Amino acid sequence: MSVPATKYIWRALPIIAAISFAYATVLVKLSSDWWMDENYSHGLLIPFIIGYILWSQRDKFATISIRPSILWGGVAVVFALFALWAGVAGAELYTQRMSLVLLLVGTVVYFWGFQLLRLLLVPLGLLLLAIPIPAIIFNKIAFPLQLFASQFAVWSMQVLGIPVLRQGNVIELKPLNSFTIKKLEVVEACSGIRSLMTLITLAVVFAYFTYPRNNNQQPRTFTGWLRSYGFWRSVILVGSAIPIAILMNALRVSGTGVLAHYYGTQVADGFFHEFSGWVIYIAAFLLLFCVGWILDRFKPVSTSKQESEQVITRTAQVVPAEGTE
Amino acid sequence: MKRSSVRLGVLFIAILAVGVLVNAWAYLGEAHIERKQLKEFPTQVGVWQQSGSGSSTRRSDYESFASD
Repeated sequence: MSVPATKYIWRALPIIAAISFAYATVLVKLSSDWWMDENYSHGLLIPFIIGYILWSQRDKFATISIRPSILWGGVAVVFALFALWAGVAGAELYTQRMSLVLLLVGTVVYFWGFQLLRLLLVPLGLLLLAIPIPAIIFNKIAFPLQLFASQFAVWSMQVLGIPVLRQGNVIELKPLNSFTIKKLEVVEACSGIRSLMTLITLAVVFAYFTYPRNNNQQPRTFTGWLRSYGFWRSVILVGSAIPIAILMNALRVSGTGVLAHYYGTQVADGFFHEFSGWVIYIAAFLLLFCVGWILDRFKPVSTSKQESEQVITRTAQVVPAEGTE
Repeated sequence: MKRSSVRLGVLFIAILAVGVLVNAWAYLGEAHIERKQLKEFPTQVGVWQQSGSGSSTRRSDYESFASD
């Protein structure tokens, strides 16, 4: 028997209370990290975005049928609770936080089933993106990005005829207004990992809100969804956020290097540094927007044709009805 | 309806029980380690025997070949 998912929504209240109690220290530390760690400050916005998505989908929750999977949901919940205990015992924050996401997944499947989980994939994905990754992985990504940004900056400065030397992630140059060699260090904050994390999150939000929704054409099966234009559009959008963020950061470091040559290394600090960060970030988002626009321009013909045929069919259905009155 | 209430109860109690365990664990804090002076360290630990004679450890205590 299946009933609307919203019918037993009250069940969520005691479970939310229990989860809040069990994860109190985890949630406090996570909020603190969002507040203090600039690499994950976008996490502060995530609860609001998730809240908005859930609110905007409330009609779908009312129509979807519940088919709880006690076995799979129970297994996920047990595993999540074990991971929470292991994370606390081992003082491992990432395990503790990931267990929260797994527990939410398990609870949804346990009470409502996989259909509702599919509707909640994006909010859960956003929560995943807001969880700080372990430092050991973070550094493995950040350092190569630092080197790439340094290499790109030196290459572009040499193309512009500026004498420059690179030692690892340190760029040595002699500004025009200086008699000594100055060093520009491409530190972790300049690696671009911060804008990379934020832009990927933004790309997910952008892909979700611009997802081509046509109720008559919604794929019914999981494989149908995997083959749909909307799915691949989202994948390409989120995937394109990676090269865009890396390239834009490399351009920012290059621009700083060029300006440091003409105006001194003080351009690498203060107002210009902050301002260039904003400019680059806006430019990155515009590029992301362009990717979306190009994808929509070159949308598969069958999809557009089917849409226009459906509009014609609907119009044709209306016209005789008006004519007969 | 009754079955779903049982399911709700089971999950609620499971999360709450782990919550009590985890919060108690976190409240207890880190394990307390009793610290001692180095001079109190025994000269023999199992099959390991201190080779140096003085109260302080020398480089030669840890070298297996003569230094030049």
